[in-house]
Amino acid sequence: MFTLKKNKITNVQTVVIITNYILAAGILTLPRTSVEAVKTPDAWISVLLGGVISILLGIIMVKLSQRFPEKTFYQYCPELLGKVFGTLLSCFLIVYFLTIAAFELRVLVEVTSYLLLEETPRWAITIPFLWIGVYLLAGGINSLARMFEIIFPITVFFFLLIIMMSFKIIEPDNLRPFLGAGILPIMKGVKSTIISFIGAEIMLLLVAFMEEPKKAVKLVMLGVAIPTIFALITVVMVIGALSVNGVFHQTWPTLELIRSYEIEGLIFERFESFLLVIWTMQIFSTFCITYFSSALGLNQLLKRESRLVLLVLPAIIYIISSIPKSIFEVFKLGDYIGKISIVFFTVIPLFLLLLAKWKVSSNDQSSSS
Amino acid sequence: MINLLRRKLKIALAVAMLFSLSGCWSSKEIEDLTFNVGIAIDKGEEPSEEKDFEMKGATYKKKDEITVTYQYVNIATTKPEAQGAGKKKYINISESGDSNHQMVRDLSLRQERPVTFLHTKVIVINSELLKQKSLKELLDYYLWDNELRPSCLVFVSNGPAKEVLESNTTEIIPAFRLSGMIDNSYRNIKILEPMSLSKLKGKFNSGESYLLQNIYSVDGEIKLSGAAIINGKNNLLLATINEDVLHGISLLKSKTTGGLIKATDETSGEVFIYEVEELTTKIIPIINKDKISFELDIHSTGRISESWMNLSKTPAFINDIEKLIELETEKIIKNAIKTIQKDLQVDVAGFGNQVRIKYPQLWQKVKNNWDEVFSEVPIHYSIKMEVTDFGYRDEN
Repeated sequence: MFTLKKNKITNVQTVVIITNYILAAGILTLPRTSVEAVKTPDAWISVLLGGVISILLGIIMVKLSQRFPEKTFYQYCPELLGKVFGTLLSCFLIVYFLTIAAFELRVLVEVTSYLLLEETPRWAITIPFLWIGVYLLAGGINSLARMFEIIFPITVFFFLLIIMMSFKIIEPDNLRPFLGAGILPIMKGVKSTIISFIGAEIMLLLVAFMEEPKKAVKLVMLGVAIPTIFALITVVMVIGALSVNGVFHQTWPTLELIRSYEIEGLIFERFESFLLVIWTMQIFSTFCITYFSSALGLNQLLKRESRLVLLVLPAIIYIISSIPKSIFEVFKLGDYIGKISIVFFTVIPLFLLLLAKWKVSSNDQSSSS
Repeated sequence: MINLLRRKLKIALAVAMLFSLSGCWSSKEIEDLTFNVGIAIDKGEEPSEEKDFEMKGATYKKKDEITVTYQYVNIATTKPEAQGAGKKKYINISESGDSNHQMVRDLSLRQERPVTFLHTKVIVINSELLKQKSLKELLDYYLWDNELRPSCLVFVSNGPAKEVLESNTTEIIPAFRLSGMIDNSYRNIKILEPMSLSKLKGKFNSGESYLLQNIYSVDGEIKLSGAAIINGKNNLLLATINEDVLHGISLLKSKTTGGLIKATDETSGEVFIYEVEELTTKIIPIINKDKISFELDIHSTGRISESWMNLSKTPAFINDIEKLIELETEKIIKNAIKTIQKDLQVDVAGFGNQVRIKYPQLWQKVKNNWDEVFSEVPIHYSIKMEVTDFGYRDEN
């Protein structure tokens, strides 16, 4: 009767998880980081290219994972590279996910304590956030995926509503000239925009949980394309309203856009709290999925299911998140994460994929001879 | 037994958790706040009440560089029993000093309710002050503070700025009157596109000169009239321009709404009014061997909305009055261009913007001394105004 497939996620859930994972802190700062790198109104092209490259990387990672059905990266990595290197790489991935979780947590605290809850102590913002995460993950990947399914449509609706309402302060001239300084600055910009889109690496783990892993390539394309479109709209609107010169020196340019207009005649005049609400949900989902990934990694490395891991990790995340002393250091941490992820997730999956192919073919030869 | 105990414990724990959820940490009661709605910045001159305090020794170490007037909504008048009591709906309070943030904090030394800037609509700055102090520095605190919204509008006042925030009737809150008047932009071409703090940030970075709406005030009445040109290099006030010049600049910027052209019939000496329905101004930069020139192409359609003479539908007549309107428009635009290009030598009409868009490489070369380059470039006109109808009127 109730044939609940445990620990399996549907196709829709896969897309939603990828999208929610990629949509995170970056969307508030992306207009600035891209404009600072490109310095012309063409920054949105860099965003688009960043998304396309991220899709390509995602396909490589999916192809790799599809070779090992029902196995996550943590499980097949030692098979491919041998125990020492495999474990090392897995540990690295765990630390990587933990750092992202800590980074997202810290950005959440920075923004809420500056704009919403000025006098609330920081721990009072962080700790409920962590505990709710623990509670959610106690239900495993299914409850995680179902929460994401609830968050996703809310995000899409409010995000589009809020961004589109800034239409009246857009000046099309701010987005021109098109390709005024040629292709070169755009290429430079891709380096910084791609950081916002690194996120397909979640497929290294997710494919193992999918009901239909064969469709993973299509799903990863869709999953990365949705946040790319969001980011594209955001960058176009922010540059269109504030101009390239106005985006420089803005810590949170997307928030600045929403704070730059008031709509009279509707129930609400101001919409920044809406943005902060959906954005908090997005941070929470990114936090949860990274926290889940690191917990999963530890469990699979230790080869046993343990609830203790779930309880210990938040403490570690909390400590990492309090390391940066100022917001400048927070952004620096974000930069490091981005740079490391670019190296890690372009080189290593490709290398592993080639290695896996080579191993199979050499096995074939040895068995036939 | 143990199961039951456990269950009770669990319920008790859940109830206990409810208590921790009931509080709002950073909440402030709205009755205990005062809402600032407008700010006026003048030259430093100690307000008399502050002088009295100082005489008694109640002061701190500061220079009286600027005087800032803060306008709040008078909460006492918003209560139903106070309605119609003839009290003013606003309170103005002035502080002088040399740091905006310090002055804001000092307000709390003089009144019981803390002031919040979450609903500040307008900032008015004295034009005399702007000749000496950079706009960027005057507004620095407000630009980057987390309370004041970037949607707040900035104006220049010809004369004391705090007089703009005065009114001689009790019903009006002057800051709201001002922000409401800007919404009349669709009724009159001589109202500038409002400049918000967020747009100003972009201007400060780009280094180009820009316009701010100018306000005159007399005895609690105010009038939007002309504009102040702010030099983009140092953000000081360069000059103020009158309504006629502003009219021309608005036409150059293709502002269509609220545009009227008044022309005079030569033979009868009577006037008629052309109401602009649509207007597009194309500023076309032409580059010839590194020499820049501009082609102005203005095309408009509209109707005759008022006439003090007899009208006629004949093509010859319409052609005649179109000529007159075109002549009048050319006069307005030529006057505006002469003022900004030759007299003031500053580009606030968007000529440079077109070069930036069409010839980005060239723009990189000229942008740093664009105002000098602009003062020498030739500008050619082509103006076409078409009369499409006479409104409800039908003439033979």
